Amino acid sequence: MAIHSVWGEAPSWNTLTEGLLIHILGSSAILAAGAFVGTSIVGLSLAIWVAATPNRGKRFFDLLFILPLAVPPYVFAYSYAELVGYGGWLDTWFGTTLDIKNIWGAIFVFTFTLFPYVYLPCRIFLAQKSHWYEVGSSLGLSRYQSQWRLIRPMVLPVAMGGALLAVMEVLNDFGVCKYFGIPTLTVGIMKIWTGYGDYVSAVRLALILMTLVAVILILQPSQKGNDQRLDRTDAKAGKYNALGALFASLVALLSLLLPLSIMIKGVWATGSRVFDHSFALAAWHSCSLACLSAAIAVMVAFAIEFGLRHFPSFLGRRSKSIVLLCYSTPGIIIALGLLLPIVGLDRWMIKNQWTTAVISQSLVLPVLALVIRYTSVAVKSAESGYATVGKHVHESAESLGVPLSRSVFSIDLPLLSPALIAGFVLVFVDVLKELPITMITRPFNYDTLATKAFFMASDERLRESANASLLIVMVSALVLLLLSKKLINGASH
Amino acid sequence: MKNFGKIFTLAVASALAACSGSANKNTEKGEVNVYTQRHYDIDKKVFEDFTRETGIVVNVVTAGADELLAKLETEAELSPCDLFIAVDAGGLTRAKAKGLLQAYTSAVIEKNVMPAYRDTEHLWTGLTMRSRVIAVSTDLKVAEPKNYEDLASPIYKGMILSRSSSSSYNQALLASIIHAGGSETAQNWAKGVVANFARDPQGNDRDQIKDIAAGKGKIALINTYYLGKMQISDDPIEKSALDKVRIIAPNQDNRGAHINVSGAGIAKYAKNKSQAQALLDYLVKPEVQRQFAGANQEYTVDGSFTSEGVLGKLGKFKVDTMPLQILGEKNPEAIQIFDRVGWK
Amino acid sequence: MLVINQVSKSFQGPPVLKQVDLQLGSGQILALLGRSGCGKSTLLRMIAGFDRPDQGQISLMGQLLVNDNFFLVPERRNVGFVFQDLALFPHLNVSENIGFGLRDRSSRQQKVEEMLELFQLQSLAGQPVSTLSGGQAQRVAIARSLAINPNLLLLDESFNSLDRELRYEIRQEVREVLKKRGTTAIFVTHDVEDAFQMADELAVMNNGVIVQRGTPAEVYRNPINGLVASLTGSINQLHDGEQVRFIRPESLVLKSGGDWKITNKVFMHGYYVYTVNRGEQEMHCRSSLEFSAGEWVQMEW
Repeated sequence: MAIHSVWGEAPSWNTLTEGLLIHILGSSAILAAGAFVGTSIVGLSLAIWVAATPNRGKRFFDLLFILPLAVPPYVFAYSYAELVGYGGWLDTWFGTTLDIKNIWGAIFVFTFTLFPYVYLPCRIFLAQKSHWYEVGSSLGLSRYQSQWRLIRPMVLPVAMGGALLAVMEVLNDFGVCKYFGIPTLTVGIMKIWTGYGDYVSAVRLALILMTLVAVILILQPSQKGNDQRLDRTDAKAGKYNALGALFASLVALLSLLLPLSIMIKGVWATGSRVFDHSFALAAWHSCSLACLSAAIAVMVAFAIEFGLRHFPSFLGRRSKSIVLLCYSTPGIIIALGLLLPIVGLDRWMIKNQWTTAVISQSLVLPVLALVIRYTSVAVKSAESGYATVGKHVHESAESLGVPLSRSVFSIDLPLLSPALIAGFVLVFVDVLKELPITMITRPFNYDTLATKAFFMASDERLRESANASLLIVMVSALVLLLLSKKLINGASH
Repeated sequence: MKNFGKIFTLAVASALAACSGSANKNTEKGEVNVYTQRHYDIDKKVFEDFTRETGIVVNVVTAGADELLAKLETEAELSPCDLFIAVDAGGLTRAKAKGLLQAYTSAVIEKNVMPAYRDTEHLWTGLTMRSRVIAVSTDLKVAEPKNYEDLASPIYKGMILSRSSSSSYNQALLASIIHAGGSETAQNWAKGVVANFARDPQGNDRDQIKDIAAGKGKIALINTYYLGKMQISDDPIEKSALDKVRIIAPNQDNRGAHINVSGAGIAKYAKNKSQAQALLDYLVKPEVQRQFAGANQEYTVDGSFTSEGVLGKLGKFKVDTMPLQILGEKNPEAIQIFDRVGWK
Repeated sequence: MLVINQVSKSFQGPPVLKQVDLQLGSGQILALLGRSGCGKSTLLRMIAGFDRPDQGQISLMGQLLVNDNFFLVPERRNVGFVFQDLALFPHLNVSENIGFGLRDRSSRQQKVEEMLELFQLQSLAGQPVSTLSGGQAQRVAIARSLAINPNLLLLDESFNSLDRELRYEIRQEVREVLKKRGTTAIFVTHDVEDAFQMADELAVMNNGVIVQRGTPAEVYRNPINGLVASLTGSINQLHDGEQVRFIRPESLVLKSGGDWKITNKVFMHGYYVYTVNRGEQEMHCRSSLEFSAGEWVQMEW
């Protein structure tokens, strides 16, 4: 379908190429670069700082700096627009307003909502290599010098891998850029499709986006040879560095405290009016949908990674590339692209009088679309999980007379379970925040927290939308909280 | 392993529960399936009232007009949708152009909906009306603009605040200007407005008013619907922002203020046609219209200009009587002009 | 018992194994000795079934394991394998690791306890394996492989991670256990002390072929070439015209007065190692007699 479309007639393609396309590509590039640098700096600095703090505080900080994952960027953007805009706290307390609805504001938003993508892998990496401070000191480097000359260059590739993931999220964003009036590729796709009604140009733009993301994926260093076992002599004498503590507090303030307090303020004012049983139902829909999609995504991810490990030539790396490419496809294209064959299947089944029930109107559709979109997240997790499991473990099981059909349950699954659970949590949180797929593919009378939050916000009822937003954040936070230990220790057993 | 098993069990359980939750409730009187772009609380209440009165259950999916259209188009004859509702004439016209609607009219509709607010071939009918008016700062030092056209005048350089051209409200306004003065005039107008921008387009309608209050600019365009919502808001910030602007109904000496409707049409492959027709008739009934006007700060579509809420204060003003389906027809051209003149 | 017939293997490049023949009797312990890359580990992995030979045949106790048309999967071979990194299952405790390969639930516990006792691990039964010391982990790994009563036990550089003293102790212990149970075993090593202490027989490999096979003493005393000689201990090469002779340092006898000059003297436990030179020729000699550096001596062998 897509291939056919590319060569079709594209009425608005000329207008596009007249200058808009360059404009779109330019702002996308600035946004991507800004988010890349921003998330790298914030995520990496925090990870290095936390790795050097006393062990007792680590749990808390890990949680604190994973939590921003729970805040949807569009909710964050709305909150800040209020905070620094007319009548916001900045206005009331300092008598000034700040213009945040521009590309620099968007970079700020993405930096402080997406930095956990950098923080998390860096922390996992540093937790495995904590003895490097000792190596550094044995070579006469001070703690600070070790950080700068030894740790930082070592973690940098890991940080960049995470930052590239963040960039992918940025390129796929719709809510923030639309609200801030920034023409990016995804906004462009929607505009051309819905405004011009020009499907062909939209698909062409989508292909540009997918190519960009594919390039990013190829650039991303794969986590290989990470088979060192977790260093048990964790840095013994950690210290709180004052400057670092200041920076960490600032990040916590900007990424969590301020937006959360805006949301709480909104809930305070409108909560009694907005909370009703439809809200509870939406929360239930959100959770069950996220749970189901995440569970299936994790199973598919496990199947892929299991296959790659045990039958590399049979499955090939291609299946993985396809999954990763799906991650780069805008949600709306996945949703509508999936609807077509499913409707075809329905039509065929009805023709053969097999069934009158229609798949395209059931939950199968959103779940399938969400799984397609997010399996890649789980695959990444499973991949890093397998990276810490040596091949000898499987061969040992074989030599003990246990065939693969049984060791998959007694070896692979339990060994990978921390990584799979980490993958589950990440997909769960992603689905909870997800908008376009859920919106288009859901059955009748099926509201989720994200759709509720979005519709209230798009109706410019930001304070009302805070109720749903806050609930999204709270549910995500709860799940992250329950499994935060697994998240950090996930990749390293 | 244990954890994994737990999560797996949880997932299966939630799957079962989720499926059972969405099972259709079959009722004697049947049901009607609505794809709607209107996501307001009042709609929910109106639908509930309808069910109470007729026994017909209303099932709803809410999304953007174009996403819903794409869905309708893909589902084709299998689509469960009976009634399609969009918040501007553009969406309705596109649905018509794609052949996704079927004609329907009735005495109730003809009595309660002005002809200009209906499709000539009866494929859709307006449900509520909104106008796009001009808000100016109370400390504007130069002459106030009287027409949309005035906004392109160089005396307002650096004063105009606008939301992005991807807003369907801006698109519809430009479409009406194209209709009134032709493409070239419209393009020159857009170019002039862009030259007067105080800053790059951003935010939503209410943000423009707040930015006037914050002194970022002097003039903005706003939907009456948001204006009303700001007035009845219990958020003190919105109220105080509104105190700093004066509202002008434009083009009173000529064609009248630009208006747009939200409206509905029966889906081509509707399976519950009679129920959908009953719902459509119900939605244009005067008492329901008054509910829309009251709770949602919209105008009724019977031409009486009844607005129950604070919009009443704005008074009755002259509105453009152009057939609204033209807004939809000129919409693609409007977007092209926006892109050409660099209205972001 | 184990019969390896004309086994060859190559991984993208020059062959790693070239038509290797090897036979091993029941209850025997064989050491495969060789430098890294000589093919010894590959041969071991073929026997276990982790890799498949390009050509050749392997059978164990009359049962065919692999030939050109047949391949028995590793889990059906009943061949135990202990890896250099031990590959203990990190999510299981000591008992669970040992019992992993035991299918019969009713006898599992008893078997595990037997193994725990055999290796004196009783007190560690419920411990997670990540808390074990090197020697304990070693014992668990071997116990795990022995628990399934393997027809053949393969050990791949298994003692490498242990320090010298512990290594001696564990080797002794493992040999005793293997002999007590009559287990046939092959172990790969590059350390001659491993081989001497544990093996009934040595097979020295080089460049994908077995170059010499025999009891440790035979191979030590009559190495067929310089490589085998140097792999099995210190060696002097004496060029006698065209011929080269291999002489162990302890086979040399030093006497005062001669044309060899002592250039270095190192005290080892209970004896000295002297370096003696005559022109270009340098020899090492082990002797308990006292000479001083710079003294002139003669040598006999």
